[in-house]
Amino acid sequence: MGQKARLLVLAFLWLVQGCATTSRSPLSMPDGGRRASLNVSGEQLPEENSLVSKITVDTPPQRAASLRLTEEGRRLLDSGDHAKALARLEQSLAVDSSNPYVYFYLAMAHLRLAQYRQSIEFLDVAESLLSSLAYWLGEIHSLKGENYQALGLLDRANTSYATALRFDPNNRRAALGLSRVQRELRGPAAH
Amino acid sequence: MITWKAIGRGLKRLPILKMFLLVLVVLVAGGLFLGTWYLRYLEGVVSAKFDGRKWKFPSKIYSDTYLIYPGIALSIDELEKKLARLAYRPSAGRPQSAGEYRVSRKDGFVEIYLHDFDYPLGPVKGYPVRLTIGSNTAAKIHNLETAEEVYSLELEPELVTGFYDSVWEERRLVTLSEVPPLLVRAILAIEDERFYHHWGIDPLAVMRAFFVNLTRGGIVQGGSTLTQQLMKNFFLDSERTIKRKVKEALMAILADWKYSKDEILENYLNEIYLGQKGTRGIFGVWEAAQFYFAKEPLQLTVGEMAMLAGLIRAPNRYSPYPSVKAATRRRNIVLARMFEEGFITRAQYERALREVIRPREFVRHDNDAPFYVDFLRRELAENYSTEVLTAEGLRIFSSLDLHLQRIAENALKTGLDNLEKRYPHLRKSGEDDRLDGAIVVIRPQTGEIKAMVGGRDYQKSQFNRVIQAKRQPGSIFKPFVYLAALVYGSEDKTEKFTPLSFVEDSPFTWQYEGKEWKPENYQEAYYGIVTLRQALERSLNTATARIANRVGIRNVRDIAYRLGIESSLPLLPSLVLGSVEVTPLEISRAFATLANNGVRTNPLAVKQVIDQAGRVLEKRDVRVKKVITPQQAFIMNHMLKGVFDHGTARGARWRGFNRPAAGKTGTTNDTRDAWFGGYTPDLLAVVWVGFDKESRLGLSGSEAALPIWTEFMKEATAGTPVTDFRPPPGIDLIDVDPLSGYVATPNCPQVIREAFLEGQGPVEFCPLHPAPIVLKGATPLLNHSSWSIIPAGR
Repeated sequence: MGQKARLLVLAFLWLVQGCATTSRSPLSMPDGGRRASLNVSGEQLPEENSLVSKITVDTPPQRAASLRLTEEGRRLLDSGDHAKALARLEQSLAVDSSNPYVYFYLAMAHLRLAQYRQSIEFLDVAESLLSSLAYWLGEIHSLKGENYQALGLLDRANTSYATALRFDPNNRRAALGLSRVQRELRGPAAH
Repeated sequence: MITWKAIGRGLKRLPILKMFLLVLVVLVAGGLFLGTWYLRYLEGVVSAKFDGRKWKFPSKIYSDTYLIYPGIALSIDELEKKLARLAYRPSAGRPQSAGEYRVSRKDGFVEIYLHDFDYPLGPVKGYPVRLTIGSNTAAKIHNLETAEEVYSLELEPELVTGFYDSVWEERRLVTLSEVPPLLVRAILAIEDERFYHHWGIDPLAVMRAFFVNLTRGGIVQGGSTLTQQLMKNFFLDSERTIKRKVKEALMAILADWKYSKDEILENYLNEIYLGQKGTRGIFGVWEAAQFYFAKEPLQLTVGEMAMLAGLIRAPNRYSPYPSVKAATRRRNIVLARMFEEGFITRAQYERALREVIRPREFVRHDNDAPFYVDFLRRELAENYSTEVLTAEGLRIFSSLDLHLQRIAENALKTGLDNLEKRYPHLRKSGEDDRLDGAIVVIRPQTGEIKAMVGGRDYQKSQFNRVIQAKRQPGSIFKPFVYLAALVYGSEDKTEKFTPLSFVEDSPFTWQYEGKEWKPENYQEAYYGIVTLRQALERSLNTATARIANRVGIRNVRDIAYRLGIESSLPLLPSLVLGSVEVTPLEISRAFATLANNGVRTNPLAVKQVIDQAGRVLEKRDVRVKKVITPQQAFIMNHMLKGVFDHGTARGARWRGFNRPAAGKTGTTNDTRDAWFGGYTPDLLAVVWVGFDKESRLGLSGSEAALPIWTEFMKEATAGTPVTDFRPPPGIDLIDVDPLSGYVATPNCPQVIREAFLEGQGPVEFCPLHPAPIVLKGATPLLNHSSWSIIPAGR
């Protein structure tokens, strides 16, 4: 089976699975595999709860502060204030560089600011820190797909979206991205 | 037709009087012509000043902001010092206005009414907070206005210095609407009460001054209006001559004729000299309100306004810093005049008389970080000319942490002094070859340069050794060899390395391109078969060269570049022992990559540049690049931790630095350079010691650079949480016997916990010390500190 056909099947499977219960990935899902939610701009957010919900009594103070700042950065991203979001997320990084989520949202901030290469660099770091969480790997590869797409690297975008769906078949952003990229790859005649 | 001949005949017939009148007319006409020309010229001069750029505004450099959050290490004493530097004023009760704070040690809290501050991303209005502090840790933060808990608090950045031209002037422009009317009235009352009624000069005031001076037998009063004072400050010197006074008067009349009273007044309020802060003059009412009271003009009390108005006559004589008494006496004169003129009520007058003048603590901003500031200037020079930096009033926000900067300055200076005391041969006779050093401090996570000291004494030498001194790194280069071994294995792909891999430490000849290179160990001591860890901890030259020989120089060089070395590295065997020159900043960048789990960052000093209108001209973001895996970085850090615990940096432990840290000493073959680069997970510092003229130091990195590093880190990390390098997924920590290289048994006399990539560690138990029951995993079997095979080398 060719690569494109395989990807189409993957996209189809995703659509089918959207109406059915998914089986658990061998990698763990955060927060018991809660479904993703949409934010105000219609984009998929990784989790319906804020990052603050990850703070427990055992959370070290640096991590707690960093998670709160990351959450603030995430909200600023949602509200479209990308420059402020970036500043807040950089502060979060300085407080706790082992907070994996901050790299993901820094990547998102750079994507919004059209700094695609830097966004990919942050995603590379996020990937190594979240390598055991299928859900987040799905998010990371999906965002990589967006960056590659913006850079005009459609084949790499295609691969990233497909990888995202492999990690998390529920990743809507990846599915949408995949179909968009495949339309582009097929050329104008296919539109 | 009139001819010259006819005119001559006519003149002969004219009587003398007519002749005289004619000459007079000609002279008057000529005088009028010249006078008109001169007035037009003066008008042009005045207009050019009023309509053009009147002042130069030095760009201001700010440190980084200070983020406080629950759980951060923070003592009340440290916080008070910080607040004083930021011009906060202690208050007896709960802070009521921006810039006040109250400390209650008994109840363990500090209440702060935060300043308003124009941050690069927009202005932030100050609000009152209560910070509860217990056991030198911030516990809770509450907004006192809303009673809500807040989870982080950002204290504004400290002003470091400015980029000045030849004249060091501090000034910030205000519009008339930003100045309280009462301050304006106070100034008018004492300096020019008829300002709104005269036309630039005030003959009545001149006559009054003339009369007073005549009766007192000397010049005790002036009759200059504000407009005349402004003209004098703009264009003229303070010479007391008739010519200068006439010119000043003419310019004042022209200015008054051409511009509105409010325009003249606004210029005056920004131009006027109001005191001296060290080498810098304080100009304008905004800067003066800040300098004397740490307030915005609109926040001044009646008494404070009167004091400022009173300063104009003689700012340094009436300044409250040399004499509060003199300042109070002068203020009371102004208050009396204000009351006489009906500008204030009796109640206001009496209340203001009771005000005690409390100037803010005198904070000199005499550039505590001259090398850092020079570095910023170099960085900015790519985009901004000197003219722009000294005149356009930019605000430059940096990564500098003034607290760390002061510690670094002190550690370097004291450390070099101590070395000279201990080793007299380091004291050279001439000043031109003095023992010197450098220290650079980086936050590995972001690449922010938190402190930089480029030399021992900036006044004597502005040569910034952190960035300008290219020196041989010596053994501090070795971690790149070991990392290359972990990352690539042997060049022929037949061998993988772990920290427990064995290597021979014995005399060795490296043959290349028909040449030979024979590295030697320090003091020619060789240890036979050793592990990679032992070779690194003891900084063994021949063992390192053998590893590099197997890994390949190209791979070693590749790792050095990947980590952040930027100097050109030729493919020579001696490269692996640090024979190629690099700067301390390069070493710090490369080590920061290890500290940051394999993620390289760009050194970041300039963060944002803002123009006077608040527009962001430039923002430099944190830039990252993952160059090795977190697992590889962790193993390397784990090995470099051993340098502190068993190796050449044990001295740091003896000197009381007991935190988990990784690092490496560096000494060049001829002992001309001594290095130490070390880091905790949160802070990295690299120290270099040597002579600019490359005289022989005769000391190793652990003798010369390590003590400076240790003193810096001890103070820099005091009170902060102790953190260790956390193993990422994919790392096995196994207790092993270093003699056999196998999993330790309870019978093994020496045990170390070693880090391996998942699946690469030993699985069989030590055959040298078999035991019926063996444990593997997280619990150490024996006391690690008992492990020591090889005595420390260099």
